[in-house]
Amino acid sequence: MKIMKMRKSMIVILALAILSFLSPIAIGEQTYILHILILIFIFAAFGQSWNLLAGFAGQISLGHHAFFGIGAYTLGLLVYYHSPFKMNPWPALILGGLMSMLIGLPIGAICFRLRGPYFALATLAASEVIRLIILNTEFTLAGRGVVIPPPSAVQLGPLSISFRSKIPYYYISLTMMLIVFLVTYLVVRSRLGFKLLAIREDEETAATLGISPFRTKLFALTISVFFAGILGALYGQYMTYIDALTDPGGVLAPWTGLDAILISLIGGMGTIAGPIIGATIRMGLGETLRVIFGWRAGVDLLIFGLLLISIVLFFRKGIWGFIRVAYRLGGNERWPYLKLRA
Amino acid sequence: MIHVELLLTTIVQGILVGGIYALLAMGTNLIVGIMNIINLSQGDFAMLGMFTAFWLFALFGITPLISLPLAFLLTFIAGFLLTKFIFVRVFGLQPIYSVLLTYGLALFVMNAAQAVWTGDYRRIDVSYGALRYSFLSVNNNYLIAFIFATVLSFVIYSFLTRTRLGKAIRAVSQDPDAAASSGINVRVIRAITAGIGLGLAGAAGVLMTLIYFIYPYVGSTFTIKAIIVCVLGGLGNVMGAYFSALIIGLAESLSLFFVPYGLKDAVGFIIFILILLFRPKGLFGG
Repeated sequence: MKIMKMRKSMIVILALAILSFLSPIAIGEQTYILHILILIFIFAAFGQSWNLLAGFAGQISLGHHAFFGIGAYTLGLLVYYHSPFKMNPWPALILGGLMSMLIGLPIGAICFRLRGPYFALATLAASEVIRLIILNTEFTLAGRGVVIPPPSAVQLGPLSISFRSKIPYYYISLTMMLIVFLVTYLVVRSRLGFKLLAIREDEETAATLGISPFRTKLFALTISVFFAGILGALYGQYMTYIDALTDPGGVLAPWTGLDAILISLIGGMGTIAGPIIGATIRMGLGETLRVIFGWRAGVDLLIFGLLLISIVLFFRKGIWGFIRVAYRLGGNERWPYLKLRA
Repeated sequence: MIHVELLLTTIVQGILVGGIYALLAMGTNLIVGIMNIINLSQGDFAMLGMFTAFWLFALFGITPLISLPLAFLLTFIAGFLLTKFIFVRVFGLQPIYSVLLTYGLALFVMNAAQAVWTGDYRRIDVSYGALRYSFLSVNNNYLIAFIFATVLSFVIYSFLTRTRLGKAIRAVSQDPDAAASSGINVRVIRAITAGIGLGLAGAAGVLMTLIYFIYPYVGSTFTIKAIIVCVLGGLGNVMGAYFSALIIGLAESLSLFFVPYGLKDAVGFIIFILILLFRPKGLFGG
């Protein structure tokens, strides 16, 4: 029975993956639709990286945009027109993730000495420090943003991740998202994942069972910020401009971190499928609001704030969490739901 | 001798700004003590206080200092209602939910202000001149803000220690069950306390208009500063918050000698992380 269920869900996932790989045939060169889909993929993966830490390990990071920004900035500074490095974007992409890991590790080591809300506050403070340093250092172009060479200035093609069409970006971001989801799935299903769940449910009890909460959480954070960095780098390369300011779209803006939180929360914290649902809704809603209220800055973010409040108040399971409970999918005793009560 | 003057002025200015941080932090502290919720929207309610003062000044020409009670009252009502209908729903849940809730509230408030009043930088053009001594010059706007903040802080302190209501508040924050069993209406006390907490933010906002520009996103840094101050002074320790606010204000302004202006705020955050690491119970805590 269980195997049958597994097979069924595998078939559904495979069908969806094949469908999304084939869909550009149907979409064609409709750049707007492709753009939205690319953003959905990148941000679903970013939401998943937050979810790994928050949903599965119970550690709320309010500073995930900093790691997204570090990734984007690393890539930008390595490849931009006057860069002393002039690197190919592919290794720069990986270096973006590694740099975010390199900065994330000591920050995590500091912040994980704190628990619960204090961890969240410490990540918020750390992200502000990172933002202020990037905005005030000449090496990082002091808040002027980084312009990545536009397609006309470089050799077009897969080697430079620069294309006139959006379809290659579509495949790159889709692949990236699938990798992030797969790794998260494997992590959650591994010993590490069970340790994380144990820590999320009860840190003291987990410690008495011989789990080192500090090391385990730090390991999860490493994976999480690596993905955040690499996704930030991909986002920067795709947008060809890294905006430093705090407007929506700026990689270092708290709104970017909010997106990760919202996406994970809408879909369901602590579920694997949640972030893709969340990202679809978040991006769809974002575009809709921009059409309706585009003339008034702040309205869309106001509604996202309200959405965050209402989810916390009335819909803590999120959409996928709700479906899982309603149809008794997956969440057996080996893989429990996020505990709500303290 | 110019250096001595600069140093003295910086020190005094830092301490004076600390008065405003103190007021904000006391509000945060009351809310943490009574509900165990770290309010991430404190600075944004201060922003609402700033706009209250701004509009009263712009429309009716009322000096900010006179609109202080009104701003306090408005944010008090907001805090009272929020607690009664919203915060109460996350009691007993894991603390992550209250963090996300107040974060959502902060985003809602600041972006509502952005949508309604646009992102323009506004200013209330009130100047009380400056005092000059041989080595020291003090901007009177800072001085007046500091004096009002200090007086208000001590009023709140004596309210908490001397009055029956204040005692009830302290009882609820120490042990809600015991307080309830001795006949205190815990729900009402909670709502009143949160009202005072946000009311202090509103009052601080009015004083902030004497010094800072007024714009919708001004609050976030102040929220974090209030939290930094609370943690430095020891969570729940009201007087500790007052003195640690002065310390933070001083540290920030002295840091201008060492780091570029843009990094001034980063100094506070680094202090914050250091405190959490080495003195998690605060400077004055056990």
